[in-house]
Amino acid sequence: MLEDKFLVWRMKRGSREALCRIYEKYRDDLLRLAISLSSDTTTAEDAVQDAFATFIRGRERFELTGSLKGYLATCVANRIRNARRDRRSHASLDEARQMVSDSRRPDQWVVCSEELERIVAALTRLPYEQREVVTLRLQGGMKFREIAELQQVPTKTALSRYRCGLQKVRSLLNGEVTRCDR
Amino acid sequence: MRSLREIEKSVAKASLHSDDAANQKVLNDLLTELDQVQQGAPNGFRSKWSESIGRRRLVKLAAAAAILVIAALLIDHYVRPETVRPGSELGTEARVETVNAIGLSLAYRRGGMEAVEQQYLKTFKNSKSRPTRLSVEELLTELTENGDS
Repeated sequence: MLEDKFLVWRMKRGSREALCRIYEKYRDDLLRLAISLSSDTTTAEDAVQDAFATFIRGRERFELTGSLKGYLATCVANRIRNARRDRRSHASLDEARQMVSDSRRPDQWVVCSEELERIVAALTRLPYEQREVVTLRLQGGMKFREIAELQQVPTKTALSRYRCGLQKVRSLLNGEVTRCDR
Repeated sequence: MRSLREIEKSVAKASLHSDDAANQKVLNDLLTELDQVQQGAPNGFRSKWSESIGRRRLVKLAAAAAILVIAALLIDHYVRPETVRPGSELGTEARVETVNAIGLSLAYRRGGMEAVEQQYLKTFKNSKSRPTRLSVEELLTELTENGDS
């Protein structure tokens, strides 16, 4: 936290080293988060790069009040939402599963492990709000209060979505099937 | 069968590999962006100090306090009726006159010349100025000696 404040302070004064450190520190976490949210590596890569670029452009006005990772995770989540809205994609589960594993390009930035692919496939079967809560909580390290603010719902609702979503992911990964669509 | 705790750990820490060359390329793009932003507003950070003051709570409070103090000093200086300021020439004169007119008279009635001497020294001590003339006691001594001779 203190290191992040110092890095942000230096980056606001144009320090390239500080930007490199922030990028190295949070890049993989944000990519994992973006892939889990979007199920699409291309969208995920764009969202992460765009989040960093926006962070740089708005650095003068930026004030670190919570965690830097949480801030960047929120940026990524907003970009994924916008991308989803723009695409209006309603890809089927099979298509979503295929996107993660088979859409590799020669210049691809990210390669997922098999475990991550399984998790993303399970997350894809959740309603988006549940997927967002589970992902932001576990991969973005955000508090339920922060997630609730992002989703504009009470904290209890975010917590309920998390429990329900995680239970379903567990069932899917363990080969069971449950129904919880709240 | 994995427990919820294990699932949480798996979701949080599922590994992925990011290509080093692609990482470097993205980082270079971001550094270019940083340079461009920096060149676009070289003094932007400093020139927006007032904006910065508006955002920080402590600085805001300090600025408000400073404004209040300045306003109070200005009001004190321009609005308050003119009074005798300690140490000023007018003040010293006023005190000397007071000593002459009332203090010495009362002191003489109370305790004679000794009381006059004490009042005289006390007054000059309070006004933090030193008498350039002789003290009353010295004057009396001088007069007595002159009378005797």
